[in-house]
Amino acid sequence: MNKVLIFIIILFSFSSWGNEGYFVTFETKNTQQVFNPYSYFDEVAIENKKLMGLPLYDWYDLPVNEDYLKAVKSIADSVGFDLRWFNGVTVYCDNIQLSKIKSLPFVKQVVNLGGAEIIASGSESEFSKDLIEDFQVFDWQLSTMGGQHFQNRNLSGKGIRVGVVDVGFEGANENVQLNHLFENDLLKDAWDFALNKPLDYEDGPNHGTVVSSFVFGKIDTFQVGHAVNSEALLAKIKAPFKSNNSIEEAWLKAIEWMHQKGARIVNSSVGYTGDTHTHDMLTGDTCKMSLAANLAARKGMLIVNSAGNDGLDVWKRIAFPSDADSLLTVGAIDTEEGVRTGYSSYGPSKDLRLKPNVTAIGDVYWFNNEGLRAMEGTSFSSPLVAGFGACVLQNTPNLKPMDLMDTIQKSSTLYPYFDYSHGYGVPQASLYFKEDTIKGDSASVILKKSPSYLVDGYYYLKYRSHIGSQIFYQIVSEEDYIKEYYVVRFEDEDDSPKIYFKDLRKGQKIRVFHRGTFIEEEFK
Amino acid sequence: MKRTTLIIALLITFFSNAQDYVVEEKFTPKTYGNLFAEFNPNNRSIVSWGRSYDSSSDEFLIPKGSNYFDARYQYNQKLFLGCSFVSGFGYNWDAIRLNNDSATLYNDSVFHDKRKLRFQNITTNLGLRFQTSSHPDEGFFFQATMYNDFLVHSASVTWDEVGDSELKTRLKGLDYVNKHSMGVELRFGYMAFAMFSRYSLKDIFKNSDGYQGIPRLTFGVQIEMAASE
Repeated sequence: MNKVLIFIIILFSFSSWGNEGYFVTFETKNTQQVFNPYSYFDEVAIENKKLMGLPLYDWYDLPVNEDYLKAVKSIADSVGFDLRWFNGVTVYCDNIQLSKIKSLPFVKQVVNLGGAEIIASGSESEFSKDLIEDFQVFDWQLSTMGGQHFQNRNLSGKGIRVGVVDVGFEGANENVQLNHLFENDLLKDAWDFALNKPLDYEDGPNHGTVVSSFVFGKIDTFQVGHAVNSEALLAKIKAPFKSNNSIEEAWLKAIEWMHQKGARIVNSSVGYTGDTHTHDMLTGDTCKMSLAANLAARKGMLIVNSAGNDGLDVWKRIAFPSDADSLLTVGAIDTEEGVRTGYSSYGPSKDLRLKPNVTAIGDVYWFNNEGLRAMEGTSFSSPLVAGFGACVLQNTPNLKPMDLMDTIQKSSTLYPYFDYSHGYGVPQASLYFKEDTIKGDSASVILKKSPSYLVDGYYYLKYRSHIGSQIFYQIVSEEDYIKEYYVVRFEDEDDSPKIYFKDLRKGQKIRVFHRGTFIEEEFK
Repeated sequence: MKRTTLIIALLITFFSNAQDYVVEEKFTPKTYGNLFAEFNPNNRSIVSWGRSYDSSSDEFLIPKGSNYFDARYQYNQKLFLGCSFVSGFGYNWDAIRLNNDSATLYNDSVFHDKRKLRFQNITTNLGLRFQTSSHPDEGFFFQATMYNDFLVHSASVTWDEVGDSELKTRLKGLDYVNKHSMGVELRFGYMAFAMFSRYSLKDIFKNSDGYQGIPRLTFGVQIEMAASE
């Protein structure tokens, strides 16, 4: 009995270990100190900056003042990473120590790191048949984005460095889909930011291994991701018994590291919701991760983030940092209807910007060295788009992140139409290469006004061709947010939805999209 | 036979809908991130005020002072066109001011200057609603429901003038009233405003106690709004 009691006491002691986490920012950096970008950055990072016409370094790359760090370290119980981009350091301390830190003359701000739920999940189920036959599913997966158009041009992300930030990469070194990264020296670096040591592939979970497969993966001649010849950087941000606070801190440090190592694109299939992160903070400039994502784009690195899997949950909206405006947020569509899957989180951002930006299939197959597994989650749609971006960059290497984001959006199936479930639709290599065969010479759908003699006036849609295919339409408010949006399909040419005048106000718009035909009409 | 075929054909027309809504979503910044944003405007909140009348010639009730209040939630499940199945629940406060001529109605048969019975009930209702617009916030509607009231609290209150002062006597937990009541409610409204009437099909008092019944009719007004966007 006594042993049990002691065990329980020890357990409680463990759970109460550690003080609150805070992020301390400083007023200034030591700008007098000589900073050599050639020694700080990887040579690939330097080449990238030159290619994009960006300055080799800026204020954000300068190190945090060592004297400030020493002073804080002497007070706090422990300190975490120092973050150059935010000119600060995470500290773990009690209230008395915190007061002392706040009173330091060079301390600008102290904020609570807070807590949150991390989303990095995807459900899976076993599915195994004859291997060769099964692997054809990979061709089909990439064909949903026109992958063959890249393959025909030998575009596979070669020469483009792509990072993956994730919660764990268990078994990545043994998974057949990623073997070529290790064998061909394409894996340029891998670091565990949760424990601050080289990445150990024995540590779980394997979420990052699966995600990486959809960027870089291949088996024999079958490509699992678009960017099979990209250079890879892997960053782990979670460890057992570490709180979510440290995950956010690790994510921020990993992004700095990716930039230092020369990544052009970073896939992040992780996100935060709940606890101290609230919906009101989804403005793109509140959460530190979102701020870092915006800064990354300015500094030459595009972050591609999964929208989140909260579509059916109370949270419902996108997760942090997907609210950042310079970050490409990817939602998931199902493979049957081609519309948002239930779990894929909804946009927009709190300040009504378009989110998610694009979508890709979220229900995918992955090979675990024994058989195919069916997986689902926005975690897997995001790396497909990241790989797509790497191929675009190989084709046009001087694209800056916002130009790349713009190119991907403009190459998507619904562009220029968008809504808060599908963004601009699914990026298509055929559209990128302007080899689309879907859009015909004439409009495939028309929007007509009801005859004026009817009291109850309305607009209605009519097919001119391709009856039975989906029509996207929406009503845009006077304030320019999407008030209502629909995806409809009619079996008969004579069927049509009616958009009633009485629901419309002056200044509101109707937008319609069908097979490349885009219609916008303002209600007057 | 032909008539039956025609009716079936009409019903099939009503129920069959060739347009297939794959995605139908509405967004408003007001409900951003709100749990109830998932709800649709068919979630209704209703507040009512009315007065009760004795529908018989006995006029045991005095309408002034016989006030009825309720606050309730209702969900409209669309069936076809403007017809919906409705179900709801709520809470009501029901007061009945009795005429002194109705002395035989009480255990207490003494003359009082003023007397009231007060009830509080949990109420539920089920029925049908017909609306001229597809949106429950718009157009005219007519609704017919059966309601059930489950008694939560009952009291008899009397007022008497004794010398210069007023004596108020309250007796709670009346054992001579029914714990359950049921009746019919009709509502007619336009947009957020409605008139209603409730007719009780079950008497207030337990029959075994030999009290005379009060056929009761309540008329009133209501405000109805979407419980969420």
